[in-house]
Amino acid sequence: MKIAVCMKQTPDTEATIKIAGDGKGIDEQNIKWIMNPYDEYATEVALRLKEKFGGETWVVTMGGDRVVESMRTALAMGIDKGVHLNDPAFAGSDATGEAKAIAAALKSLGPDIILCGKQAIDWDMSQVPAMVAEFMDLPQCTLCSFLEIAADGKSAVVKRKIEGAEETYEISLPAVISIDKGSSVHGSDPIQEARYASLPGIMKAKKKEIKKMGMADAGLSAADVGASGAKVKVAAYEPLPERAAGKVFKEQETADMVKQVVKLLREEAKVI
Amino acid sequence: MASGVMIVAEHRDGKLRKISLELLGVGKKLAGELGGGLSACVIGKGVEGLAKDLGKFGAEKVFVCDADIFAAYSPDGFAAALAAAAKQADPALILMGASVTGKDLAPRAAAKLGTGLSSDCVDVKVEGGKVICKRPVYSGKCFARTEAVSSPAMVSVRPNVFPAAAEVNAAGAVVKVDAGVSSVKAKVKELKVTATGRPELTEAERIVSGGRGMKDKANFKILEDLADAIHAAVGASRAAVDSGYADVSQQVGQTGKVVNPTLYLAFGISGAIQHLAGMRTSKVIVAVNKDADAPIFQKADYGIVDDLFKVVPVMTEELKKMLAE
Repeated sequence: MKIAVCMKQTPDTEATIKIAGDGKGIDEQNIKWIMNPYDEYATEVALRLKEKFGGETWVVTMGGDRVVESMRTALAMGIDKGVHLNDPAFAGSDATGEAKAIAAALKSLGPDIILCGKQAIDWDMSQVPAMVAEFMDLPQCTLCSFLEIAADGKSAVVKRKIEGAEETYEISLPAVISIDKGSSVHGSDPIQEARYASLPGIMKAKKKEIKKMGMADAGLSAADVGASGAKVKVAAYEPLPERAAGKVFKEQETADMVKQVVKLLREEAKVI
Repeated sequence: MASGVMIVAEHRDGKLRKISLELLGVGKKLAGELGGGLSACVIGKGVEGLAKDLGKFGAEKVFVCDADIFAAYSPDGFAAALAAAAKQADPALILMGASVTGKDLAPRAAAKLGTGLSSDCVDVKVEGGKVICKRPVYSGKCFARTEAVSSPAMVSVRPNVFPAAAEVNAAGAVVKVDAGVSSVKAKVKELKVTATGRPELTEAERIVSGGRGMKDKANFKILEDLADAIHAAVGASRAAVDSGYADVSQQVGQTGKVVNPTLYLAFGISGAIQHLAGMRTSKVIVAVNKDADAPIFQKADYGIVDDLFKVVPVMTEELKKMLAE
């Protein structure tokens, strides 16, 4: 089975995000870059599928040189090879451009299953997996919490939770599946953590193949990718308004504090 | 020449979901700013009856894709139907809800239409003829303002942010659309309802939420009692979910549910930035925590530094009394 994981490198959630002077970007200095945590779970799922079905696993990532470090982390976890979509022309791509490039890389690999994290923790949009599926004309199931691939590797049962209900799909492979933390894969307990890269894994990762793919290799043009190809442009970043400080009650009798708050909820906040 | 706004209605069990009315509300405002009319698209089986409700809330035309093949949801099937409706409606802007289904369907439909998507927006307006959206990014550390460059513009809006449309004394004109879909790649085979009878988190006006301080799954019962006393939904922090105290479907936060209630009661929640990203737009936040230094106290409107196990029963009683007055 050939399993591909789409991985994005994002700022650490604890990173302080500073808006650039011109308000049109964020200040990328002093940010710790990590593998998007949800793509880490997707990598864990990919490795478990390889353990069960055998085969080959790939990580596909788009970005500049700094993303290679996160790709090596995936390789150190056990992924076999990588495709690095790397080209100055890719800079400034929106989700559509990213999806087009990733789809091109995946087409060149011909995987049986494509796994993605449910969202990237920088923009939380969950757009790329579904767009990739459309560009590749494949079935999709996003935000999945359950995955079971049939023994013949030709279909899968996937489940996802929607508001007040759970959907079950049976889809043929290849397909694009984005997966949530805490998913059950082949009857496992909810997978809460991805495996750590072992020291031998880290050493092996240094020698694993990362293929480079540029815009021309991907069969794309400036109209497809980069800032020139963007269909949604970032106009500006703005700081969020701060909430005003509230009233904190302490060192009084519980009943007194509660009564005061409930009274304020009715008389001041007027919410009950 | 593309004009007007088309909203994509969401429905369940023969009724429009609340988000559909929110879409009509913001859709009407934007149609006024962009020029052109307000229409709606509804996809499903036996859904023609919903056209009346859509018209009642402002849709001048309702594009109906009604076919057996749409009896169950299919991302690729519904994307094809949406594209067929868009071809007939020729809108300048397509509006969808960023519900779980919307997050699955909108990007596929955008890719199919060859256009971009501004997703999960909390503000949408027209400036110089262009659709400008605003959404929180980077765990809610700042807003990004984006401009839709391609046509039609496609925007999904966060549920429970925009007010529902007012009722108008009108009927929407039904336009039947033959989506031409004879097969789909993925569709829902089984739908298992898990609703609790409490409000759904992303639609709830009141939420009672528990964190790591709850210490045990069984302890959530006291929050459920409080929630039932004030008709609230029950949420949880990621720490509580990871510890097994609550189900992942109850998780409120950047990577869980993003909520926008009038009242958010947080018990034993420290207020990590990722949790705040999911509830910081709540109108009123009440925090109860034993730790006076918990970051949540800086964001709460009212805070009580105390043992939540002492506070919750008293608060439940006091709120019951207050509501009965």
